[in-house]
Amino acid sequence: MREDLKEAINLSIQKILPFLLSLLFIFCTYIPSGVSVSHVIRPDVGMICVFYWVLHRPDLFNLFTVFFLGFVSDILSSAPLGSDIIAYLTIYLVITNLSSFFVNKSFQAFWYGFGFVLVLVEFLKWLIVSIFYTEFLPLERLLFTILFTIAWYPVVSFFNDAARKYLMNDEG
Amino acid sequence: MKRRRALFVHLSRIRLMVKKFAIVLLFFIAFVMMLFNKTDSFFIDKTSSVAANIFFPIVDLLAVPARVVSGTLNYFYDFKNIREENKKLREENRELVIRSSRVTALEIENHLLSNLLNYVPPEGASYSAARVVAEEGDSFSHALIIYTAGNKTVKKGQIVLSDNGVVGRIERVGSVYSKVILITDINSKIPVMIENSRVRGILSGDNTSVPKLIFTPLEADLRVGDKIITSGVAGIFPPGLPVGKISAIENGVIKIKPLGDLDRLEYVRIVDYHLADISYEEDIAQAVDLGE
Repeated sequence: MREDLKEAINLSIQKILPFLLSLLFIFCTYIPSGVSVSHVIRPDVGMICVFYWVLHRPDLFNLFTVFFLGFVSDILSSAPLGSDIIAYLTIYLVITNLSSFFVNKSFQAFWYGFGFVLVLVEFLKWLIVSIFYTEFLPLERLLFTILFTIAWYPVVSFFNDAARKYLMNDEG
Repeated sequence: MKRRRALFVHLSRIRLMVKKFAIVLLFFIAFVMMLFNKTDSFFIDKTSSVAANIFFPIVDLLAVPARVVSGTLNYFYDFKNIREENKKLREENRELVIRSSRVTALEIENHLLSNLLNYVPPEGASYSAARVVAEEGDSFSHALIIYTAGNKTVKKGQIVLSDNGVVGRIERVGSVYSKVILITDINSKIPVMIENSRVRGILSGDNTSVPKLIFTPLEADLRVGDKIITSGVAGIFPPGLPVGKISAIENGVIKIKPLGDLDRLEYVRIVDYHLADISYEEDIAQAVDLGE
């Protein structure tokens, strides 16, 4: 009985591991670093995680997980509530329709693919938030954020890869 | 067998439809959230506040190792510069002693003139310190989260200072954490004036690192390097707090470089000006009217 319970708990943790890892990454980006410009340009690691897990393990990263992650990201950031949810859901929508394109592709292809999707989604978010404030927000910061996020993709993917391998080993 | 396959196809179609409907529904919920946010709904404010009290302790906990590393590095860095800083402080102290005697003389003169005019001075401000827990800024917003548990004097609209000057104002007060909108944020509007010429205006954030000075008179003589201080118009902030300096005047747009170090904030000071409980937005609207 105790073994069964232990296994059930283990299974539940495995199911939410991608979500917990994504949350951890998002939380880490809000730690005050004291580095110049860190308070205005930060990598959007939530987008990297949504892209990665929806592509590799959609069974563990469903629509509602994406929604909740977007909600957490909205709460942590000061952007209008709902803007990150829309951005993450758009990634989900794009990836679920383009997943066949990424089958058996190299890491570089994933990276380029992410760059393409990120540019699309960040500009959509910029447009929505600009409409919200009825004023166009500066584009330079957005471009730096996009470049910064693309540069962080291999680092975040490295940890996500490790978690995915751990899950695969555990599932046998 | 054929019937079972047809049933399976039918079920998978229903599942696909439900999934599509769920996507549309979640997008709709997100848009509704934005609409509520636009109208400053109490519900959204309360939800954000409760959720922030759940998530920010985690960020605060994760920041402990970062603070230890940064504190150790700063210690060695400070140690390296201590001699140079000491020399600089001695010189500064000499200058301040001279200036202090001048200020005392001016204070006496001011007191005498005030008595002459039956002038009633505004109530003095009190200050409280708070630790910065998280930096919320990105391309879409510039804000901070500060730890204010147990501080009953913190109210929406109060001004927040760093060592060098004004950095923002309190936007949301929670039971443990409060949100500070930085002066560079698109939502920030602060009544200010030029220190020397006393020309009034509104410092308006635009999500760049150099906010704009708006609603200044067309004939005003403004120069790069002029110091900007709070004007105290509408009585929401104490007058005379340093805010920034004019960094550029291009095509009629006056850009202000904040004096406060917005990217290296560890602790901030909150100014309690003993406000009556009036809406901040109303006060700013009043200040804008006065500026115009």
